[in-house]
Amino acid sequence: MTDIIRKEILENLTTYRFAVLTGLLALLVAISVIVSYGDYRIRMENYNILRPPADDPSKIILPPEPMSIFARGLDANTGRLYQLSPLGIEVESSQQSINRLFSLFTVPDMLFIIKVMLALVAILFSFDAVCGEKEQGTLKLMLSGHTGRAAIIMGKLAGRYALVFVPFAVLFLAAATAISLAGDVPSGADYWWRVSAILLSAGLYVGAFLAAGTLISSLVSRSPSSLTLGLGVWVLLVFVVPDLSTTAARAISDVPPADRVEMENRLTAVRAIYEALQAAKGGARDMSRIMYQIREGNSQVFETYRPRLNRMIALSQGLARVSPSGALVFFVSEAANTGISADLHIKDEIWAYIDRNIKRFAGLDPEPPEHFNFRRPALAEQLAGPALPDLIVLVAFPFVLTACALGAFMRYDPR
Amino acid sequence: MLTHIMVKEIRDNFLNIRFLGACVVSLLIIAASIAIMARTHEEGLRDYQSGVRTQEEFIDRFAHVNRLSWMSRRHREPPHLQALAGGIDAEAQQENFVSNPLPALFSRMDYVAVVTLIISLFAVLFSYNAVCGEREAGLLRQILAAGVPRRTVLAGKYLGGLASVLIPFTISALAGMLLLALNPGVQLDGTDFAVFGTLLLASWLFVAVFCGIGLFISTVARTSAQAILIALFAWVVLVLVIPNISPFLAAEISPVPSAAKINQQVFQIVDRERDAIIGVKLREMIERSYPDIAPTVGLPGDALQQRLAADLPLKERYARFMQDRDAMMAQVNREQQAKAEKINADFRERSGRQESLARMITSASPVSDFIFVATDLAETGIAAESYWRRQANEYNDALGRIADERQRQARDQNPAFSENDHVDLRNRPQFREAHADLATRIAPDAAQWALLLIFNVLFFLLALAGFQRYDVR
Repeated sequence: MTDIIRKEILENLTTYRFAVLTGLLALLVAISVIVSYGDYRIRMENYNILRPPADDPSKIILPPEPMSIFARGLDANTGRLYQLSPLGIEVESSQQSINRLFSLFTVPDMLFIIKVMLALVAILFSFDAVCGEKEQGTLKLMLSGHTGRAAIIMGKLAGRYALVFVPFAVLFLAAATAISLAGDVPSGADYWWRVSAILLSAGLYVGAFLAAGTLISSLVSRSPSSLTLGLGVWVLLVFVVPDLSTTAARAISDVPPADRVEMENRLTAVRAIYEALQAAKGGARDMSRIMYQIREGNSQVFETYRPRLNRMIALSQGLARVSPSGALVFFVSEAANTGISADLHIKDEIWAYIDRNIKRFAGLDPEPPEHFNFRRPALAEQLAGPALPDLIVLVAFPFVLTACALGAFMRYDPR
Repeated sequence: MLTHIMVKEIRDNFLNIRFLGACVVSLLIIAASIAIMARTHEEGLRDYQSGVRTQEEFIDRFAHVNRLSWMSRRHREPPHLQALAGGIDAEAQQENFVSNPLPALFSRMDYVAVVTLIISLFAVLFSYNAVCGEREAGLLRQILAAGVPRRTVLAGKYLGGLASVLIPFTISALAGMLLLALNPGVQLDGTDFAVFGTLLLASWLFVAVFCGIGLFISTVARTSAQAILIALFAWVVLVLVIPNISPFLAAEISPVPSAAKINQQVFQIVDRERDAIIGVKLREMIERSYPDIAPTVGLPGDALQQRLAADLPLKERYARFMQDRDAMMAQVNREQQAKAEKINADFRERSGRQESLARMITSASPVSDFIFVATDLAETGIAAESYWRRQANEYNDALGRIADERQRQARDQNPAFSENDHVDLRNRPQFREAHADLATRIAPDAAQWALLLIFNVLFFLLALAGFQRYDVR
């Protein structure tokens, strides 16, 4: 079997295909690191400008997450400046780029490269694994020797896996090292653990697509059909399933748009202030009553909105996990601390913080509001919690598909 | 002869399993995406309508001048053809505390995404081996030996390949549009159908570019295996790389300070710096022109009043001083405002420059050209958003003027009427978004239309040149 692995590697190492695809990957990784690091620095600069003084409890902002260089995810959203006012929670808009082209296209971060490019490379390296060998006539020769079919297919998979994943891992680690050397990125043990988690998921992901390509290759007899089918599967798994399932979840669920919720809150606040002013004509106005009224209104809206939002997120996660790409997006963004759970978590914390301190904000309690403390969850908590289903999906896909490829190859007609 | 080759090419493709797969996939995906997007549109429209109702009723009941702008913030009605081209996704902007996080992680799979990702890939897959595949099969020699000019062979192959992609695609697109038109939740008018026709035309041009690219590559490569690799490489660069990196690239090349920084600078100028300048000027003024006032400076209010009441000439001088002081302060305020406006104008100009640079870089890819064309046609792009924002601002200004006017009338009757009292704004004009006509929607993308045409001609000519020198053995 080691001979087959060696043969697979040596055979492909000198090909045009290997050179082109590895070159393309290297180019993309380089562009992505430069572009994402630049984006991180802009957000860092914004953070430093907007960071409130320590004694101002009415403003909350989180520093940008360094791992967002790998997966931008929701970090630009989680790291917004939240202003707590009697009107509710305002989100600062000056952190968004003025350049509206950003909203028409996707972010080319490392997650994008893994999700789209690495999967494509895996398909391109596996579509001819079996049927290509058959077309050349070498499959018959191989099978006439002492090597069993299982050993042949596993050797082929292992050899091609090394060809795809090793160059990527080297590029990825080089990029991670380059980023860690930039002075403004904190890169302690946590950084490297998270980098490793992302690399691990990329490894599993490559395995899934290589196995899928090999499975297709052992189902058809000609390599052009295998390639067409492989590309079709790639488009389906990488783009159609995740994107269509989140679009569908948005269409099925009954979550009102966020600006509608925001409007309800705003109108509640205006009404409370208006009524208090009318009631207090000439007398002193009761600010604390206004605040309570607004808070109560907002809580009602929030409490009916949030469970619906959670249901919708669960639905679209469930649908998107049908494809390893969906699971990869959730897993990598969680591992980079820029995922859905990080975003929802900080918002819940802010909500609870206001609830705890409402009297102090309203001036009913002379104490100043407590300090807002927020700790982003540790990697272990995320892996055991919100990222666990994705990890299971990512582990299951390569194993199941490899088993299928093995089964298909057992019945393959090498003539 | 041309038609013979074309027909042969189409027959070849039609009998292929690849063709059948392409037909089924494009039909299924376009139909599914339009059905789902239409549902989203329907929901969005319902939410929009009930939102407007709530808002207008609120204004009827609680309108008062002080907080009118808080109650009349406009939301945009979902454009009719949003189901085809999602364009700028308001939810993905994450403008609110409660924003849904999913749209920031995934794109929507709309008609435009299907065309740019899937149909363009089909186009490449149908054309990459047009020439080199034929050579490998040994057919090329036979055709040329029969005395058919190379030009005719290439044109026949090109048109045949194009037809094999465009026929199933057009059927799927029309089926999708039919699905959309039959959906009771989506109201379409004459303009929408004209827009759809134009969008279909743009889609043909776009798909043809990729057929041209595939054809060109097949005249450069010797073997199909080589051709598919080059074709996929080109496809990845054009579809996935250039569009996505260009906004970031433009931000690196033509950096713009963040809006937060500009706000900070402006605040510094119109607030802190202004106060400092006023302080200095005030001191100078007292020293130079009003030394007699100096002893009164810094006196508490009551003491000052007593002092002035006791000394009538001083009171007159003090009034003069106050007048001069106010004039000086107004002057400083004007100057600082002008400075701030200059910074803001510079910021707007630089942002505009960055955006046009990004647009220029990204237009090198037919994908971006098509996205600009499609989103502007469907009114979900940048131009339509700016146009709507302008209208909303104008409407809100007009509403503010009406409220001011009605407040003045109320004040004529009741002098104690305040900015916090309810003004009756019933029978106010309602906001109606004006829609641009077809020509106006095409106009901002004239360059992109031209580029799509140029790419078509360019790649066909390149293929022709490549084929003229092609070694058919």
